[in-house]
Amino acid sequence: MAGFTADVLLVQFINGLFIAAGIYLVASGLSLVFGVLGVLNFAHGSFYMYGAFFVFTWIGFKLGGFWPALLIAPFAVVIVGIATEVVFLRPIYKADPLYQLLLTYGLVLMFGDVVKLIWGADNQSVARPVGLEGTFPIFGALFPSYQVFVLLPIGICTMVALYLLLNHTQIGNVVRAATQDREMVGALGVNVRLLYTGVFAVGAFLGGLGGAVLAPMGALYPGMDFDVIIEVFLVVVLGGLGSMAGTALGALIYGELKSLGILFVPDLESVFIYVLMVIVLLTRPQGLLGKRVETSR
Amino acid sequence: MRVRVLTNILVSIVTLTFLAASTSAADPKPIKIGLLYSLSGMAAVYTKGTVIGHQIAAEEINAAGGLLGGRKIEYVIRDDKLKPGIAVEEFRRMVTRDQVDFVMGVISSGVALAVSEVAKEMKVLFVDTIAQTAALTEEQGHDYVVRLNTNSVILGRTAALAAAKGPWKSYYFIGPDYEWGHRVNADFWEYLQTKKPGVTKMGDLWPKLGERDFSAHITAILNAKPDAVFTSLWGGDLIAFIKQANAYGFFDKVQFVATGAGDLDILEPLGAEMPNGILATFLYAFDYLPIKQAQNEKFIEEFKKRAGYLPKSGDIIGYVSTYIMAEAIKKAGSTDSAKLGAALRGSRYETLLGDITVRDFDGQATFPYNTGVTFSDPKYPFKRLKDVTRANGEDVLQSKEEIEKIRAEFKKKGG
Repeated sequence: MAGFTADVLLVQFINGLFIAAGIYLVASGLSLVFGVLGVLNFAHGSFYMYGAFFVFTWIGFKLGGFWPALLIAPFAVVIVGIATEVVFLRPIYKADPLYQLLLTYGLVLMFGDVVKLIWGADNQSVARPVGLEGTFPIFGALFPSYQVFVLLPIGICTMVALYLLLNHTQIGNVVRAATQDREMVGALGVNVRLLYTGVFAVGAFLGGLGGAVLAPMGALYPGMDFDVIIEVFLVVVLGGLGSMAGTALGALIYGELKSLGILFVPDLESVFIYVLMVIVLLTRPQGLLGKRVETSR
Repeated sequence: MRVRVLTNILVSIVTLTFLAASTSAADPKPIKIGLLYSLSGMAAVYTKGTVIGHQIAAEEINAAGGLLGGRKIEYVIRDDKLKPGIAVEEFRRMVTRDQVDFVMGVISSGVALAVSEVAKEMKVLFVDTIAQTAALTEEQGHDYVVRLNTNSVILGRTAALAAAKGPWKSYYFIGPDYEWGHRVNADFWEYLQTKKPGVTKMGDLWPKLGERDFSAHITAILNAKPDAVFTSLWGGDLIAFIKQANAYGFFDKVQFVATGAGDLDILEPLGAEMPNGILATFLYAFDYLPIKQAQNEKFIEEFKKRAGYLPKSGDIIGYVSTYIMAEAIKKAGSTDSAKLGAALRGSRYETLLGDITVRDFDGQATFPYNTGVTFSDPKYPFKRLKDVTRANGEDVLQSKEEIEKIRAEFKKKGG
């Protein structure tokens, strides 16, 4: 393929930003939970799936449609998340990480079956909100209004909000301290149990928000959790497990590689990102920005 | 490692419950048919209705007095978990332990090819009902395998026939990156070139199965400015692609040609989001049947009562294939696999989906396949098809000579 103009590159670049924003929304929650709790939560994809299905259900109620659902669905996921943390994760924080992985994998299967029970196994679809079904021109090229006005802004706002929360608030200080040494934080009088539940709830919220925001862009089906979790792991490992900035960087690289890669070598579109991950893991096993927030493990 | 042990335990528990649930007593000597489908996991969406289709047909046949002097059809239903290894094991067990006369089923092409090998080895007839890879009846075909469905050649070529009638000269291709996608896209493209000289291919894109985000693919295609885009994407991938492409104004700029997009499992979830004017192929759309309206309506009603939704292509195949087997059993006067296979082949059957032949040289059924153009019908909450054309399987499938050539080449390569 030859003869790209700067326009084409720009179009693919902006597309890459959309892809990055979407995957960042989901990945940030996983990264946050790992950074603080030290648990690699396989079931994070389930929170994403629930976020999407809750939106679908809310729209069926005909109570204001998509917009209230965008807020309600993530909070509904938070309830699921808190229940998960209290019932399943609390007893095994001190256990071998392998058990945590097993447990969260088991949760994936359980959550998946619940989805099949409630919503069935068919593909479902959530329509784009009224007014945002069409296209919006940027530099003469047409982009989906939904991505321009909803996906990208929410992605950026989430990133900024997380940054401010973690770096410029008292709670953020405690959370960051807990990632360094949770026993010391406990000894200083912080209720670590509550802190963990809170952080897990935020993680679940982010997963649910990701699912809710992305719901109008794809099909909803049991199994969408598996499809997303692989990409999310990729992004988080690339950027550095537990590093929020790393997750943002990983998402950006992921989106741009995917988008621009198609232009240059369409036959190998999914290879680039894996090759990059292998290189990063060989040369910087902690991920690109993995050092900034190291876990105490 | 531990994950695997745990899943194995889970799998065993599930299988045991299944075995316990599906053994039942019977009168005279029933005709035992093994049904092998992926009843758990992703593919369960498609197979649940297929089994209901099988059951409705069997009940009708049994109520009408059964076959071969009052023998009733009885099913032994097993889950292949979408895994060739498990499918092969279940096939053996159904034959040796449950003593089934023959086996129908499977949704995955990979599973079909594996099961077909055991069928050949055990000399027990395998009737493929959903998996559509042409390889099963082409290069890897044998006496103990038949397919009572369309195959990838019928799908790709029927779409090509319809597309050749349009004015489009340049094509872009996108399909899921595995055997199915590559095969259908190639079948379409090779046939289109023979039907419409001068067409050009502008590029191929192969997103992975289960891709969530097609925005980069969509803009890459639009950038090339093709007249038309052909796709073999299916299921959730096709839905996601159409939704996302819609938001880029994609369908105003190119003609979209999509296999299977006219089937209900795509039309229903997309609802009004399905654009008008798409060239979409389908096997069955509940009210486009030129024949046997009464039986079709009866089937639809019964199916809706049990499943809660309108029957889709995979559902009616369960029903239709059971009736074809019943005919063949009558003709063979036996349930012996060799006799049944021989009776099945070379015969003509009047089915709900049209008159078909099971070809004697490859065991492939010649189901007619449809192409139509999507439009809004105020009577339905989802898009319907208009200007529907039907291509008969006979007319698009390869000839006996071509099949023999394919098989010879496959042998030469050491297959």
